Amino acid sequence: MLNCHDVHERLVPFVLDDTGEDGAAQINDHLAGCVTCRQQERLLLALIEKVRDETVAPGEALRQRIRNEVASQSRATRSLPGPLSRAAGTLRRPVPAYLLAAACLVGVVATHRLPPSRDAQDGEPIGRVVTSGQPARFVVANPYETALDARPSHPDPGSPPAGGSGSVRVPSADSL
Amino acid sequence: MTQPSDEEIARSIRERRAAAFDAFFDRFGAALLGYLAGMVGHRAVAEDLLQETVLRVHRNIDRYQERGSFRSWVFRIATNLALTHLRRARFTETWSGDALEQVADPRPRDVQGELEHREQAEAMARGLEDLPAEQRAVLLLRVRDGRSIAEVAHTLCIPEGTVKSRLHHAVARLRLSVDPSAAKKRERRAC
Repeated sequence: MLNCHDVHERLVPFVLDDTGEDGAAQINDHLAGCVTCRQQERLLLALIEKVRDETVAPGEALRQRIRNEVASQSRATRSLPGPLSRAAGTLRRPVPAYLLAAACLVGVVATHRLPPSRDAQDGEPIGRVVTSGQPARFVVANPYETALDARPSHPDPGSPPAGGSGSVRVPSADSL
Repeated sequence: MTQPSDEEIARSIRERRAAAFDAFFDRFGAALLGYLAGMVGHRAVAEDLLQETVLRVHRNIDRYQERGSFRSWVFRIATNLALTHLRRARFTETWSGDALEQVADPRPRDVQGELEHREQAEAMARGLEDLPAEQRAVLLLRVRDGRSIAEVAHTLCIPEGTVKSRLHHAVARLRLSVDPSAAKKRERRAC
């Protein structure tokens, strides 16, 4: 037989029908003979009824507003080609197709207008750290420098670099 | 005519059928708005969150996999939006009796009943406001929306034991708000 403390602990699932049949029967047995617990049960039931009672219905204006938003979102994503449509679908707000197309165009034009870059070979310096007499700073190699003009920062690989400056080398694939 | 199942509604949204929006809104509109209003305590905010929920459901329907319940998926989106809003707003637009009145369906009542209702509504509002958002979500899904413990657990991605414990604490705290004498009794018992 359950005591009042046990029933108190199980009353919430009991009033929400989350107790199994056996558990419910035990609680019912206790409630039949305990005025205090019956009051608690009534209070809980009233409370739960109160939470359930607050009904709310969306009005027609709200429905129409949301319908329009959904239609507009749908139009925006449908006007794009497949991959772009999926990408746009992940964005928080629908992006107009012309904006995405313009962004792509700007990207393509900018890429073609960049100065011809000399791809760094494995082990070739991309710049050097200058430390002589001043706080250390990193000087990026001039991308316009031709291969003939380029001077190795320390010609003798066995000797340390002169003047306290050192080169930063791109690690070769073998060393990774 | 038989009502479409939740999964059929999900399929109609995925296939971009014309009737999909209305089917979805008829099935979930009121439940979602009630839930969101309960979570954020403000009708206008709840309406905005409902709109965002519906948009996200339509936008991300391809990500929904039919292994789980569509309803749980939809309410998970709504819950995430509500929790994000609450974290941002820090409940600046707090629950109030007026907010609850905005949410409540007005029905004719006598004056005494009206007063009692208002007092209870305010007490309930205070109680809901005091609840941590996670407990409030469990309470509203289980009690208001009538979801089972397993469904609430699936919706919120938490274990069933956590749902039960949060529910217990939520109801206990709410009871203290509505019936302050219960707190005194509890103190006496503790002594």
